[in-house]
Amino acid sequence: MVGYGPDALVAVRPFAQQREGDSVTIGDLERQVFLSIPAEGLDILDSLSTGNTVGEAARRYEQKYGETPDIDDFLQVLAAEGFVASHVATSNGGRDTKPAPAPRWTWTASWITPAIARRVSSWPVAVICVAAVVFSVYLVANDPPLFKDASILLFPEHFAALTWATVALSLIGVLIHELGHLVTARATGVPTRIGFGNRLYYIVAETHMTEIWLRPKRERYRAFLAGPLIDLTTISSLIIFRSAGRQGWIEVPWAVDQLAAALVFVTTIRFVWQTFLFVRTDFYYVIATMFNCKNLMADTEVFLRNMFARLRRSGNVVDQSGIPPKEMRTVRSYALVWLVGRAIAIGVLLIVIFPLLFGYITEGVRYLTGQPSLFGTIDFLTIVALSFIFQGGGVLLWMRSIYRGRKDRQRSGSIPQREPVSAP
Amino acid sequence: MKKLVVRKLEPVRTSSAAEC
Repeated sequence: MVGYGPDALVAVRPFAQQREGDSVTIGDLERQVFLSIPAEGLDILDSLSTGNTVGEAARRYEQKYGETPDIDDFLQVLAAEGFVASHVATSNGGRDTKPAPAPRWTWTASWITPAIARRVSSWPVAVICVAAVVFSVYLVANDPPLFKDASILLFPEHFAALTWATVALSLIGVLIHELGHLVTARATGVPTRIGFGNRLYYIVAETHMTEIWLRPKRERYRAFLAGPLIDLTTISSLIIFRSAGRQGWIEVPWAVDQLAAALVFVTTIRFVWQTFLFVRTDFYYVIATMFNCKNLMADTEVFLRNMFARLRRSGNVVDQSGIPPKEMRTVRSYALVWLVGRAIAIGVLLIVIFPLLFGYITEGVRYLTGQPSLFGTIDFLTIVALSFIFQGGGVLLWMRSIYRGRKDRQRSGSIPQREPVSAP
Repeated sequence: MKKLVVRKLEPVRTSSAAEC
């Protein structure tokens, strides 16, 4: 790539900014790309965008800060991310500055305007949610059977119907959880939409809200924690409902009570899943924000890949010297969480899930070849169908994302893989 | 030479597992 001479003029694309300690977050809203730069780097960008040459911008920086900036390197990286272009390049249409394509299979719920979102994500609503949680804890303490263990899912009657109903209502719970994120993020004016994807082999619904980087930490925490708070509120509401039935205040049919108890259990599991910090869950983002990490997951994966390359004494080691020491300490601690968490998740996949799926296939083959099998019952078919939809589908999505990740890494010129240096 | 480090921020996609 050609460097920037002192007489060069540089076009700076419009960007939004948010101060964050001694750095600044800058964002290209059209392409939804967000970078963190040193606060003094902003002076250079401002100087260039008023039409000063590269040399003039560097001279002003020296005057103000008393040291010479490596302005060429700074601009090269910003150009690679599409934030600046030399004036010659812009007349050729620039590079890499196309707007971000809207992902397929997403839903914006545009009827929820920022004004409505602000009204809903208010203190009174949060207080009511917390009050419901406190009240339900009191109820369970006085009547422990309000909270059932996993055996609740083995419905003694109407197994298939109650199982499908539990799954359908649980998916509605997932949607409400995501709407909680969407509403709290949208209340801050950030564009958001709901889609689905995977975390390892778990199929997830997800809320896209990357522009939340341009909001103060307080607003970020609120958007991340809205989901778990809604899960807890769902659990509490169901417990209060079951308690009212058991106290005789309302008439609750047996099947409805079973369904409510099952939903308490599956929503609790969904809440616990949020503590799986080794993938990008709500609590992962809370932790990453607490420790001021810019990209904890990617930095940790590069750190581990570097460690592996050093152990093998081959392969590229990526320079991570640009990451502040404090953040590197977080990366090293998180690397342990990443390794142990993923080892357990993959262990469960190999020891529990794959054998189960294989067993179901074996039963299916026995059924098709006219041998006695479990396949004759709607109950068994229900379990098999759900396993293949959620776990089989999750594994397929995971394989696809691994394949795409590899392909991206091979042809990427992006920041984390920017400076391969040979192993020491 | 003072190096000005630029770091790309991670995508923010909060999530909830579809289905225990």
